[in-house]
Amino acid sequence: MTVYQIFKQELKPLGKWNVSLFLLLFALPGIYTLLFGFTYSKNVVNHLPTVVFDEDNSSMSRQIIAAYDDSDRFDLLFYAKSFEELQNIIGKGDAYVGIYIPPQFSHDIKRGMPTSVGMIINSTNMIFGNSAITASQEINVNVLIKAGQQLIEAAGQPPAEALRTAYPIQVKIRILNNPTNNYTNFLLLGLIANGMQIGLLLYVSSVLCKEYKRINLWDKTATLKIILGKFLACWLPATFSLCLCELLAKFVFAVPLRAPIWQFIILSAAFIFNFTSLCFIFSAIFTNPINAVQLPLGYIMPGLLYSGLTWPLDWVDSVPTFIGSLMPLYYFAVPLRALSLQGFSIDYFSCFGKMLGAGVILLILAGYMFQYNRNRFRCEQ
Amino acid sequence: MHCYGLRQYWQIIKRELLFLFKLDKRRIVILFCAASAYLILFSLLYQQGTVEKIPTLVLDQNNSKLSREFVQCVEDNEKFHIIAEPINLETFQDRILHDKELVGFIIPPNFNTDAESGRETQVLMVMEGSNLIITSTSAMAGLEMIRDFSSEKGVKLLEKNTNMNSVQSEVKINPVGFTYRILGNKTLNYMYYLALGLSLAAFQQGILIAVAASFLCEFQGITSNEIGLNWLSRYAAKILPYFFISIVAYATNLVVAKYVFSYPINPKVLLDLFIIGIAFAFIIANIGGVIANLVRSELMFTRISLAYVVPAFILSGYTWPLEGMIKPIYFLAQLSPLTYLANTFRELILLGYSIDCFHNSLILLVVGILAFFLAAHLYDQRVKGFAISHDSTKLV
Repeated sequence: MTVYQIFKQELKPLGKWNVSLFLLLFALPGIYTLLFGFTYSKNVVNHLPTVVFDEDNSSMSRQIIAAYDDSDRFDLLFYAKSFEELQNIIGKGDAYVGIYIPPQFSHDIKRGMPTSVGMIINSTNMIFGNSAITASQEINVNVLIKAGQQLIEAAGQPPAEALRTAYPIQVKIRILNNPTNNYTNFLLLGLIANGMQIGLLLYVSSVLCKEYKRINLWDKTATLKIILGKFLACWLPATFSLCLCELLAKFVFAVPLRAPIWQFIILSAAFIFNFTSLCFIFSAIFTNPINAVQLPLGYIMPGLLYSGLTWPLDWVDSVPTFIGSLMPLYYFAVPLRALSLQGFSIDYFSCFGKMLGAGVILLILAGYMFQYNRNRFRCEQ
Repeated sequence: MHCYGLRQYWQIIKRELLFLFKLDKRRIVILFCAASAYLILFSLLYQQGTVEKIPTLVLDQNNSKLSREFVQCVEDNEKFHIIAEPINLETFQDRILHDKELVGFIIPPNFNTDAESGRETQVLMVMEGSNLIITSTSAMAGLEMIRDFSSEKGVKLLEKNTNMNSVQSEVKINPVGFTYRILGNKTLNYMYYLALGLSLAAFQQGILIAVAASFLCEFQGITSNEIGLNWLSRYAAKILPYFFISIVAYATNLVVAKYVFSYPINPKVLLDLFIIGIAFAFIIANIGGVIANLVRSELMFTRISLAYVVPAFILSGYTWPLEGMIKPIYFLAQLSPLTYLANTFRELILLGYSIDCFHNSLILLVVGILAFFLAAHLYDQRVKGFAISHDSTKLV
């Protein structure tokens, strides 16, 4: 058989399209793209349920409450009548943020006595915690400036000068590439790549080992041809599918693809090349498809989280970095996001080269292992 | 007759234990080690807990005493690590866009004269926003740092321009204090936030795969006497070893978390942790039993369970909160057992209580009981089918 015939046979065994290939390499990553895209579709966490206990009930305390009420980040849902009630509401999980304004609050401010507003934030889920802390810091600075300005004005300074004295050095924050801190932009492409990995793992891991049972059928075909034919039948559709999912992310979930499209295609092709080769190794080693699929099972979640997609690997020790560097997604997830958000990736060519090099080596190894097992099975039969 | 029946059930349990510990050791490895292996792996990854010493650039266009004080303030902040002070705006932009520096501060040319004469001045903080962990850490630390720096200068300015002393000025500039009390994850530590939940995802996979192997690998060893046993008891005897070992694996995971990685597990919540853990192991073992008796092969089962693992984790609300999901996805999330365990488990460990613990345990238990009956019925059908297709006298 020629490479083309093997390629065709893998895509259309017995003259019909390979349903498993379609389901695992196209449908599954497509479903993941839609599922995760819709999961993060709200993009940022807003409307955090908030409880207030205002013991002062003055115009100044109401200004603070209004500042929180005006913010999209907080929803003032509860007005507690005691501190215990406030704690209970947070304890029951009905609110994630509590604001406590003590009695005599405005009076103390006017008299120059130290006073403080208490912020209670449930940070068991850090997405809530981080959102609430960042937003409340911004609101509190504004409250502080306004209160300071009023006091300085009362001491005789004109309003504009009082404002500049209250807050002489201002800060302006500019966030590049993902200015709205959008979670879909942050995560979706990496999750799609991981979904593609899962699809490939489930399909490719059984591609070679299923042939051991019918090894006589391949008697007149060279190992190289078998490997190439089957490899192309996995690599090309998977690359196509991954690129489709990236486009789906762009057109359905508005994930920006700022770099030229060819850069996405080439990087995706290199990643699929590397990962398919890795799966070919498992498929060649194991004679039982179940073992070939189950052994790499431990890779799925670490493959995603050790890629640096969420936790930046510059902040981990050498051991986790080394573990991460053994995984193909390490060379793909972050450069892919950089292409998407920054429009370029400084690691593009080095990651491309590493994935390609590793893929070639792994494919050669897979070929040797397949040849070895093939000979063994031939002798046994 | 009663003793005879018990002996048969014991035979089933013994056969499962034999497979677990001798004939198919991958079952015990996956069942027992998956959760702890993930816990170790991810605790190692997130061991540092928080992001510190973010590579930072400072462009000081003023080069005055005040600007150097500000630079020193950045340097002293544990979240930032100044690695360069570019000489002009072009170099600054080029480095922040193209190099590995993630945060930059630009001090304007008239920084000191404006600040000291009471004119408006502004420090620009620029962040590379691709990684939200870096962005949120930098924003929180930067805002706090600049606010403190500004307050300090405001106090001095007020002292200079009025006849107030430093205490009076301080009160005017900082009339309100804001005290933060963070509940749950007090230090905003990512290890506490993520690693345990990931180990629970692996725990779930371990149970599913081991149970599936038990139902799908073999009918070897089944005896004619077993075929005549009560359908519920036969299924219960088969699933029992997996259920008990999964509880031991769960307990081991807690021990590793507490004593190896110092997770703040309060002994007072151990009962709650075990109640929800047992309910979860029960439902997963039985769901495994249902699916294993429905699918044709272990390969198919493995494919289904592996395709399920990542969505189950992401939809569990463990990372992205359930409240932030649109309704259809929220509904989908409610169908996954991990949703009822993950957040409750983290609340028990980090908050010291979870008001959903008993509610969620009850849901898991009730659905688990339904799955138990369904799985037992499906298994009975398969056993009967097997008995019909094979002459029972030929059974080993």
